[in-house]
Amino acid sequence: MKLRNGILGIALGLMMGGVSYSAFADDASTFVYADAGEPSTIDPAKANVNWEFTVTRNIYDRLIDFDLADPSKLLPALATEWTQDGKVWTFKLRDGVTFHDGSPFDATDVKATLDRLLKIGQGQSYLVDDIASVTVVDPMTVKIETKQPTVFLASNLSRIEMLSHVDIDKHKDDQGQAWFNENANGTGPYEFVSWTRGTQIELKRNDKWWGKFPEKPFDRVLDRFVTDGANRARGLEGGEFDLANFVPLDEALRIGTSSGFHMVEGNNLWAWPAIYLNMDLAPTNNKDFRDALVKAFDYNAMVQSFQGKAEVGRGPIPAWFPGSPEKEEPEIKTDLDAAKAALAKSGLANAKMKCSVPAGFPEFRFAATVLQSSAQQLGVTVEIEEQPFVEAITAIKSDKSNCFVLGNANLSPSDATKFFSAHYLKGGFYNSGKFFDQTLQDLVAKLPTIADATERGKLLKQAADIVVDSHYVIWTARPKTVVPEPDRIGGYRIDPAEYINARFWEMYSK
Amino acid sequence: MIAFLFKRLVWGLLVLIAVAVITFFLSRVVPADPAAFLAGQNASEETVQRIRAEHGLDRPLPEQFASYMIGLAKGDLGQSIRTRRSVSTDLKQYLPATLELLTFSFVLYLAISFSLAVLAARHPGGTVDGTIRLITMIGTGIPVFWLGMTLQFFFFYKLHWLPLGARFPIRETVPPVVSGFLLIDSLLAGSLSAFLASLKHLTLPAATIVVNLLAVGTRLSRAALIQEQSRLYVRTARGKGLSPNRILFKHILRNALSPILTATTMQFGYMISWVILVEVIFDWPGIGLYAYQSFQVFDYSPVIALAIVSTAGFVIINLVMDLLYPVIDPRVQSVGS
Repeated sequence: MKLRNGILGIALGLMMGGVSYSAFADDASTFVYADAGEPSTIDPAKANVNWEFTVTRNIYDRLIDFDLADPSKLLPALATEWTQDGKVWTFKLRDGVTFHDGSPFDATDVKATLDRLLKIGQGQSYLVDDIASVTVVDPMTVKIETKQPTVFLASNLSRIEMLSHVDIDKHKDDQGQAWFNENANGTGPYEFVSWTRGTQIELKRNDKWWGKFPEKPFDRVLDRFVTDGANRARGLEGGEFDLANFVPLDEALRIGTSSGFHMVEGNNLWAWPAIYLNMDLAPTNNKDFRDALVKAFDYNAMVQSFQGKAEVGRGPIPAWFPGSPEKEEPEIKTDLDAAKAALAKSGLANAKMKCSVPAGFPEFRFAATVLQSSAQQLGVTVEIEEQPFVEAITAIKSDKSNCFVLGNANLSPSDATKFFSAHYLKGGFYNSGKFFDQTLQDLVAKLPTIADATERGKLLKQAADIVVDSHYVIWTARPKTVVPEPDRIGGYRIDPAEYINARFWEMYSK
Repeated sequence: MIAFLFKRLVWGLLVLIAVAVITFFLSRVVPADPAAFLAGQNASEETVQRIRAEHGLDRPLPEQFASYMIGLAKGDLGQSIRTRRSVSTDLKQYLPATLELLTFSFVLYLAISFSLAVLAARHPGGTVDGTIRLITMIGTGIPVFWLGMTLQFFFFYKLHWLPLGARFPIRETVPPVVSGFLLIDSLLAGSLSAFLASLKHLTLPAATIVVNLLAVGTRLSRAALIQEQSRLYVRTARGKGLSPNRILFKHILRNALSPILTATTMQFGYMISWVILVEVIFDWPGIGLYAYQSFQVFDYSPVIALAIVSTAGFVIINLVMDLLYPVIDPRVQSVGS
């Protein structure tokens, strides 16, 4: 009887409910983006990975933007003018900008945002941690004083998204951490609509945005969380998705050259992957031994694995980065005789070492395998252990492993010092092999204070040379980023400072 | 009966506590640092320390354990470091998707495995029996992830018959949540098209689970049916001229059901563990996907909570089956008493 009633209830619902709900609406202006993961937060003060930036970058604006083709060229965004006078920067703000809730944007928002960001100390705060104080001069003018003169402040502010001081004040008990984790109110091109956990984040176009949309922009964006790379590729090819990030290279090349698609190519990777060698644990604590590994490594195998869409780096900074010394650096190439000589000099024979590889990245595993076979030619045994990222980096930091495989990209458009701090200076999170060189520490501290670009370039070369000469890192390859885009879609550009991210406001349907 | 139920509930509770204790200490053995994950890669050591303190990760292990167990006794499953929400809130969000997938798969599994067993048992050793055995064995031999991806390849990529993954068509609006089961919610919203769309999305994940379980279920059910067919009461029934269907459904089935139920209970346990893989392959937003994402960053609280929830699911199913045995077969009750 109960079952029958249940069925009757459902049937009744079927008859009555159809009026208010329609699943299959006309949805031509929806853009579906297959993202490789689900954000842990959408708080710009904490956003730290690609799929978090996807959301924050499109909801919030920054004071300054930069030219993707020439990252050293800064462009106005929420700030229209800026000047530097020693440690003090003055920013003139754009008039008439409003947040999605309708409240006006002014200098108080800039101060509240930066104060909060620095207090929380997470996400991209490291890019602007030289800020000493923020002062509101008038509603449309803000002054920022740094701890020491830094030429990179404006460039690094191009990565910092502006929040509303009203929201920050309203949720100040926990610095707004709970609220901003899953709510958003920016001035940017898209508004936050909803977050369905495990599935998607929905955005809608902000038609009051101060910037300019292309002729046929998308009114609705669905940022889908698709964890499997093969699924992203298949869904893109099958038309379920309009664009996808981190499509496996072989799939990207195949799809991008197939009918109905074109390939977008660009630079944003500094090394993919780089192998960090432990400076404290035998046998990699021996400089000549590290030199032998760097020289024995089969770089050609790596380039081939990227099907030619890669080159071998000559140091930590790619040639396309503003002020890079790369072109003046000697080539790094496989030289087995030199490797054997270096190994003999090290006095180590039949050495054994362990390499920790973060799971989920086929290129990382491949690079470790290439190291294993290259080292074998020297009589060195490399044991590979694939682990979750946190476990892998903890293994090398706690001297349980000799090497760690990691991808390198810099999230500042023209400041290399932040990258150096994180990767090669004492205490840097990615400095997993615990490299330390006092001269490098001093150089990196001095670089931002040098106003003259030529002088700065010389110091940057010195810094790069120190890292290269230490044989601390094997830069296995520097691949190009390739993204297949359907012909029915346009506007995708590769951001050199944001991995593989989509600027939805530039995308349009053809 | 009440004493039996009480005893089983106490045992179930002890199992859950044991699982919580073991998972807690196992998760702490791994040399990972969830605070570093939460702080983000470029955070200073001071920030990481602050977060560690905020989440009590700097406290001695026995203190963390005591705090966790006290919270657990109050129904507090802890806080997820990854989603930055309480685990209970997350489970409320993710559980319905998994329950829908499990229920659908379970019903499908019962229907198919039993039908195949009946077909196979009609002529043991015959062509039909052999074919069913071969097909189900092949299904079981294929790894779950490979089977899932192969089904996606053919039915989504090549034939365009079924969706790649997820619970509902991407560009469409999900029906208002009432039960959390999209099949039911679509009907309650009065949309047959939404119901059919949900059904299409369920098909491949459920098929992946069912195909892998089919061999064991079919073989055990077949064996139970064949054994019962050889009993005297069946011969008597045949002698009385009863139709084969009447003999099967009225007489054989009831007697064969006990071993079938036992096998089914075991299979349900496998189903719970395989759902993690299947949900990852099909981007099914359930607790399997939630578990996978939590494992990746050593998010302790969800990992322990999920172990407890899946164990609880298994314990409940076992309890229900234990209660069903006497209903199906009165001899079980008399032995128990």
